[in-house]
Amino acid sequence: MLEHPQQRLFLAPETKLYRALTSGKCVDGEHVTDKAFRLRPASDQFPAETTISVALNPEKAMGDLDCKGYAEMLAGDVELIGGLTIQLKESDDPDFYEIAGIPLNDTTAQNDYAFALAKICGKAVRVKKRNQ
Amino acid sequence: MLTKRRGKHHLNGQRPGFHSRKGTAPVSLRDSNPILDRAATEAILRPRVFAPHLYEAKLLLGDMFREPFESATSIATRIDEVIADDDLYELGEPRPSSETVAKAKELILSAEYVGSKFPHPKISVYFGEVDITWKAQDRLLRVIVFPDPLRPAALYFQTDKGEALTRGESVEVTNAEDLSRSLNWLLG
Repeated sequence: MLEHPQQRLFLAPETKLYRALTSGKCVDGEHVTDKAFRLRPASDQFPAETTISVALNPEKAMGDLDCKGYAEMLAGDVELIGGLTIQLKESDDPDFYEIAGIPLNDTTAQNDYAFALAKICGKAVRVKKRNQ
Repeated sequence: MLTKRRGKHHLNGQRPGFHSRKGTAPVSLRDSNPILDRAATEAILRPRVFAPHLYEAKLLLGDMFREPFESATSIATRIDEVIADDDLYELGEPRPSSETVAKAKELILSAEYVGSKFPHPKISVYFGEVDITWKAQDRLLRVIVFPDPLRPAALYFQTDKGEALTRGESVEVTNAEDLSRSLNWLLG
């Protein structure tokens, strides 16, 4: 068990990470769009996102969300993007990680990183909606 | 002739995967099947959701034959269509306000007024924001209209040189010429 949950873990570069695609704007045909990697602004229900949540398997990435599908990327590709790190998420589940390093309140940088992350994803994998 | 075509395309005269629920008798396309009928209707009405590969093929084929430029009016109409598409929103995600939408349309219409020509953009939303994005070769230009009515719209642009992280730039839109100049840059 790690003493500091936020301590950076050195995942093998070939480790696959999965990101939930939470709406149609995250997918364009079979491609993952930059919208899948934008930090969500604060809302009535949630504070603003500061990191991008990912998981070590698709089921945990999607959790209970009503997702369109999921995106897959390699940890090594994420860490090649300057400024980004992969951290273990503060959670009891060791399969949850987060991509940190995206500057907050910087529209330019958020677009830069969103496009960079979308570029390293494989094809979007679609799943059936839960309520169908 | 008909038999040959059948033999070529269908296994034992049956369309693969096109069977009744019991898995024995094939379902004739002429038979009325409410499930198939509904699926077909949905695929036509919402092709991006129900037939993503067909939708992609349509986009690709469409790209081959359509005009290289799109009018501001057509883009404005598409903005309305995108805003109205429930599929693009997460649960509880706010839609762009009417002011945000009007500002986005106004920018496009003003730029056309000063002589701009628009390649076909991708239009998207993000938590009340409207994004209009053009790509040409390795260049990308995005108009970002923010949900905050006091915040000026921005032009984000980048040139992808194949690096892991492409650093773009953003400028505030102060007038129609700003977008016009950026479109000239995009088209080289």
